[in-house]
Amino acid sequence: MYPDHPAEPHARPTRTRREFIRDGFCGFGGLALASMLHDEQARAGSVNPLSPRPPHMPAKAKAVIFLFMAGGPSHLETFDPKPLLNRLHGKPRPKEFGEARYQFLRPNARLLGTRRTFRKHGESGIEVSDLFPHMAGCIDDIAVIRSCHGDMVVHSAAQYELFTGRVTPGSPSMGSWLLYGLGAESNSLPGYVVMPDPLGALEAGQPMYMNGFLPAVYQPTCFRPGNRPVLNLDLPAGVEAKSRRRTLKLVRELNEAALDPADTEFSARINAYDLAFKMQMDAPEVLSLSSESKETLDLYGVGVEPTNDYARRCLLARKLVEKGVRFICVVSGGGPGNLQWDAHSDIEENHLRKAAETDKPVAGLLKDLKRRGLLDSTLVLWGGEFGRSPEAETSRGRDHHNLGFSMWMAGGGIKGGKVVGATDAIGLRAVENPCHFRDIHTTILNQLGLDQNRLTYPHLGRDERLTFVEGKVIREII
Amino acid sequence: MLNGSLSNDLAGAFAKRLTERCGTDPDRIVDEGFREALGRAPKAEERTLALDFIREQPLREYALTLFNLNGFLYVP
Repeated sequence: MYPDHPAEPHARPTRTRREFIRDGFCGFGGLALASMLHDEQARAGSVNPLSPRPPHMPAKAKAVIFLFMAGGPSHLETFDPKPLLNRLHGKPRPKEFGEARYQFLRPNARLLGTRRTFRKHGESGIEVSDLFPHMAGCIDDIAVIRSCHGDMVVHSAAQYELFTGRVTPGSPSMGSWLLYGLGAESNSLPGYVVMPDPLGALEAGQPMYMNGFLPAVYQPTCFRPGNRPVLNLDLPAGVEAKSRRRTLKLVRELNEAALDPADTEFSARINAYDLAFKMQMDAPEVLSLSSESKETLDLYGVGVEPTNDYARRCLLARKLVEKGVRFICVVSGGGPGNLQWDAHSDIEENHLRKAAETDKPVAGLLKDLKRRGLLDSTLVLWGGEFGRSPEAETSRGRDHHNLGFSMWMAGGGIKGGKVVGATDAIGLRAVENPCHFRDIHTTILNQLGLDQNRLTYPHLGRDERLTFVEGKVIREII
Repeated sequence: MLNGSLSNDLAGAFAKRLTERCGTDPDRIVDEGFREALGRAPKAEERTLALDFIREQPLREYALTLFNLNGFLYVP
C-alpha cells in the first residue's frame, strides 16, 4: 500500500467489456482519450489516482526521460574501453575470465577487438569512444555505470527485466510505478508517454511498457511516429470549433439525461468529452515543433538525416517534460534486429549507423534541458536491455551479453563526470560494484523521492514492488 | 469518435438516411435517430434537448452526437 494514501478499492485489475469496446472504437486517438477518461473518472470519485502526490522524501527529480537503445548497444564500442581485448583479438577467451552463456555463441568463439578509438573528454577525463562525439561533449554531466548486469540474455526477457524488474510480462513498468507513486502534473496530457521507433515493434512488445497489475490509469500513451504523434486531434475540415462545442454540449446533456444515478462510472466519465476538447486545444501546440527556433532544431539535428527522426522525438520529450509529463521513453531501434542495436553480423556497420542517428539528438537533449534549467529536475537514463559479447559472432558481429555492460544517467541530482563500477579486463563480467537493473530502478525512485520499500501495490496476496526484494541506491553517483 | 473520418463520414450517411426516412419533420427525425442508434425512444427531456439542437445545427452533428452517447458506445 502507499502508506500516505491508503488505497481505496479504486482499482480493478482487468478491463471491463465496456472499456474494451470503447478503446477499440476510439482507436489510437482514443487511447489518449482513454487515459483522460480515467483521469476524469478518478477526479470525480473520492480518490484521484492521478492527482499529484508528495514523495516519501525530498525529491531531486520530477521527471524521467529514458533513451532506450533497443537491441543492446555494445559497451565495448562506446563507454568501456578494453585495450586487452584488442591485444587478444582472434584468440579464445582466457580461462581466468570464467564462463558466459550466450544466445548464439559457442564456447570456442574468438575474442573480437574494437576498431573504435577512445579518448578522454571533459574535465572529468572520462573515456568515450569516437562513436559518440556529441555525447562525449556532455560527459561532465553524465554518470557512466560500467558495471550493469541483468539476468537474461535474450531480448524479450531482458527487456521485461529492464522495464519492470521481472523477466516475464505482466508486471508494471517503471513509468507506471512512478505515475502510481507521484501522480501526474498535467491534466491535458498523459502522464507517461512512450515514443516507439517508427521502424517497428520490439521483441517484448507493448507489455514491457504497460501498467501490469497496477490500475489501468497508470498505463502509457504510445505516440505515433512522424508529424502527428496523436491522431484526430484536429477538427475535420469544414467544422468550426464553435459548432463542435455545441455538439459536445448536447452529448453531455443527453448523457446526463440518461444517467442512472447509481452508476458512478458513467457519471464520472461524462466530463471526459469536455476534457478531450481541452486536449484538442492544448496538445497540438505541445506536439508541434513549429514554435521551436532554428537554433534549437539544429541543436538536436531536426530536419537533417540521419538524425531527423530521433531528434524530433527527443525534442518532443523536452516539450513534454516542460508540461509536467512524468515519464517519457524514447526508443531507438525497432523492427528486424539489425535496425535495432542488435549487431550480430557486423558491429561496425550497425553501431556507426545507430550512433549517427542518435548521438547528436541525445547530446542536443542534454544541452537543451541544461540551458533551460530542466536538467536539474529531469533524470535522463541511456541504455539497452544488455550489452554485447567480447567474442565475435560471424567474425565481425557481437552476440547479446548480460553479465556486464554500460548505461548512463544524467540530471535529476545525478553527479556528472563520474564513472561507477567496472567490468573485467575484456569486458565480460561486472566485477567492481555490480549494478543490477533493480539498482538502476532503486536509484531512479530515490531521485524522485520514492522509497522502494514503501512503493508497493497488493497483488495476489503480496505487496509487490518494482524492485522485487532487492535493489540498492547507487550512492556513488547521487 | 469526434474528429475521426470514420465517425464523421458515417454521421453524414446517418443524417442522410434520417432525412430520407423522415423528411423534414423534426420530431420524427429525433425519434428515428434514437430508435436506430439506441434501440429506444427518447425520454421527454431528451427529445426537448435534441429538438432544440437540430433547429440550429446541421443534422450531421446530431447524428455524430448519437454516436458519442454512452448508450451507443458501451454495451450495458
